[in-house]
Amino acid sequence: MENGDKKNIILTGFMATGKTTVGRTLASQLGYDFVDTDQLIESRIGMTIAEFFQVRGEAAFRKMEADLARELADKSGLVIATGGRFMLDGDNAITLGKSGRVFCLVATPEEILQRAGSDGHVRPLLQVPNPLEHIIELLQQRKKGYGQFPQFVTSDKSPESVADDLAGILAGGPDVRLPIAASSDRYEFIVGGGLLPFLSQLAGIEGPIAIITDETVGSLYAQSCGPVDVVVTIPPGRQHKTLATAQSISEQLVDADFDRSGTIVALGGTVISELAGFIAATYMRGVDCVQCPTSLLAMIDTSIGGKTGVDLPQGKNLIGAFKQPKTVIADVATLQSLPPRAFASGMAEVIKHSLIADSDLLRKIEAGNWIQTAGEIRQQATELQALVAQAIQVKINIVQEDPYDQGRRAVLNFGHTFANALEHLSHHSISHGEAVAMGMVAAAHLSVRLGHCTEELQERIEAVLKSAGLPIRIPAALAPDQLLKAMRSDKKKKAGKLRYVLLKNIGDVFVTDEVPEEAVLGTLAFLNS
Amino acid sequence: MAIDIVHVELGERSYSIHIGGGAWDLLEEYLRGWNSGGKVMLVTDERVSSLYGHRIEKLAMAPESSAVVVVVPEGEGSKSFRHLEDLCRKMAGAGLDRSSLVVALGGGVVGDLAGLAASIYLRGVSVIQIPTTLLSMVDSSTGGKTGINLPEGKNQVGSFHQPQAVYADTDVLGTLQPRDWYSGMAEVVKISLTLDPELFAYLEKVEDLGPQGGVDTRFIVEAACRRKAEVISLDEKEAGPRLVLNFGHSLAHALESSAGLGEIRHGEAVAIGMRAALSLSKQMCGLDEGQYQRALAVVEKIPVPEIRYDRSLEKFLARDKKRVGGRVRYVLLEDIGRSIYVTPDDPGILVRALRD
Repeated sequence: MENGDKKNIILTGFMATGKTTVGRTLASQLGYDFVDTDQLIESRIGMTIAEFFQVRGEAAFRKMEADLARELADKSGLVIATGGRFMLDGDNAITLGKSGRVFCLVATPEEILQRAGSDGHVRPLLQVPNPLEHIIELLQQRKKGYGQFPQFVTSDKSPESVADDLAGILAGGPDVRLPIAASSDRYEFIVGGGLLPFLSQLAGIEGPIAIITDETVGSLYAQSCGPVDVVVTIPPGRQHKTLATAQSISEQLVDADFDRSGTIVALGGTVISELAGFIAATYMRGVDCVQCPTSLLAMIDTSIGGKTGVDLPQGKNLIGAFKQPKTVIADVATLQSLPPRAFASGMAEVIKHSLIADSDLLRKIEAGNWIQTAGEIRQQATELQALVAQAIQVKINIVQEDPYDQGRRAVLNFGHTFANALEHLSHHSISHGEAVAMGMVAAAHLSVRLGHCTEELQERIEAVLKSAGLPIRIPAALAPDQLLKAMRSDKKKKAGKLRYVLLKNIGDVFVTDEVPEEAVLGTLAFLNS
Repeated sequence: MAIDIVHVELGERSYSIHIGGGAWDLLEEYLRGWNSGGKVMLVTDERVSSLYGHRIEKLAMAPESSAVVVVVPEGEGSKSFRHLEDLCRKMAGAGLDRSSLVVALGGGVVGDLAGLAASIYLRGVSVIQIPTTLLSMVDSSTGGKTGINLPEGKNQVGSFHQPQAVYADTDVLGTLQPRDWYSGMAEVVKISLTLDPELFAYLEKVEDLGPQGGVDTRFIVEAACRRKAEVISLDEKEAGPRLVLNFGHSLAHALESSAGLGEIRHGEAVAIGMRAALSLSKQMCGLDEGQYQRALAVVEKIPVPEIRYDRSLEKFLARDKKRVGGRVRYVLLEDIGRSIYVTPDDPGILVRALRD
């Protein structure tokens, strides 16, 4: 690869955070050239920076840094380790930042002091009575400046492992940006690998940031999201998607002095996405919201369309609001940590989108192997990213036509009339995706029974679901008459009548409330294995 | 029956405010035309229910509406997550669906609570506001603001959910306690000071602004609603112009929270807040001494209780929703009918303006 194709990689951070060592390692790993701005300047002026400060003064040095920023910005294929204050200059940050991606290395004050004392360099900044206190003070002063770049913790890590982490992020495919125009709101759905550290830049967040997450996801990724003002963590699980949890989170936000200029970041799966979205809709009558879905299901289904909600004892999502996010950031790297069953559950929604609107997507699913094991998903990272983006595009197209769920959007409920009742009746021992899989088979069977589509189509649907590790029959314990009763109490009925999404062909679905109950009971009895 | 109609222009969310004696009866007409097939739920409080039990029963029994009636406890305490959840559960229990209608019959508490429940139940069902207090007629029933309180402060959780219609029946104001009457009158004074010099001139002329003072209620309600409707049409979600309606409110909300919710009437707190805001307007925005005296004279026609000042006041002031980036924005006056926004470095300045 020519250097011209390779964007620069710029490392910033406090002294002794490992910029030079990590930069050198990374450059040799990637086959880039390495530049250390302090060393380059010293070689040009023929003296140390400390001497230059005494002879010519700091202003002259900063001027040399600014000239160097412009010079390096015109080059490519470089790993650049910058001086401690180099990128804190607004002009330098813009000039050099444009030539590539900037990462900020961070370490604890204790570690900085320990490393600084042992590398043989003379550090004038530390020639003070209490160097540790001085470091803490300086870090505090520069918090905001460094905070504008994605942060990488180097404490307790070897330079090689930090370089590996960075290389991993850089190796991901290019981000896919899908523009969305829903009603008067416009926003972007960004799909990519290793996006979380760039959260605030990608979403253009300026005010305070509050992350709402659960214990499982929070412990894995909350630290990766760059500097935030408050993290509110709830226990994992659907049973916490209640008004009581919404109240507790709202109170914690008030206690943290989180105000209307802030942005709520929903970091997690569907429960967090819907709960945090609901809080963003109602906290102080509405604050900005950025959705960071970390499960396949949340990426495909929940985080787009602006539907948010909490449950009541009487049913799922009976409470909610429409809240369009400011940006959706789907970091497919987070799918690595997903349990196989949760991955399959998300695949049910991918398959649903292919069935209602995209036969090309269906062929891709049929041609691939989408049963997730940790190894395979890493192998297929770029294919997975492409698959996720294509499935999301289906939903974007539909939601854009119908932002307030008045008509066309109802086709997204394909399989859901059955699915919600299945989940409810099984007390959620059947996952949402599994229920959707069974529900889609039921909808297909009902379509065949009513003469709308062929039996071959139903078999094709069953085959693709099965290949993704999803169930295609309803557990025997869930009797047809009980299921029908549960369906009747679902909110998607209009003025008392149950609505179904039926299928004529791939990409050709329609909504109807003219389905005889005997036909529904017949289908449920057939699938009740 | 003489009914004034004020139109609130908000595109597809536009609606009308019907003002005058007997406006409540128009609801029955509306319900006769309500043929979506969805159920109707009427939410009211204990006081209104005991005063108008027979009329409510008639609505509940009418074949065209057969409304389910929910009665919540009277007072600010009902604006809580607990009562919100309770109401939503009742909506689900009664089988309300997306084509259903919620009628909020009562003062600001009922309107805010039922409005929020309607806006989040099934992600939003229709609501009609029937304000029964002067305060809710001129203030909370129009504009779509809904909300509940947290222990940390007032209206910290809520939404914007515009009603289908507002029926302000001025006949029911006869049953108001004097304190509640004055509480609404404070908001009328606020609108006159910030937006309507003509209304101000009227309030200046009427010697007694009390319930027996002979105020033309239909005129003042109509004028206040018209000004508020104009502001809302420009700025539904309070991004700019609508902030003017918060004149006197930063301190008012802090006073209410600090005194303990329900201890002091909202309008009383607004009247106190306006005194401080007027004094600050003179110091900071060049409000002329003569105009200041005129404005203060009208504000002082509203009797207010003695208040205690404690440290919690500044804490609650700092929590105001209108702050941006940690600083509180105040609405102040350059002249009667002309307001501007000011962000003082020290939010305590308002508390001192009040004490001095």
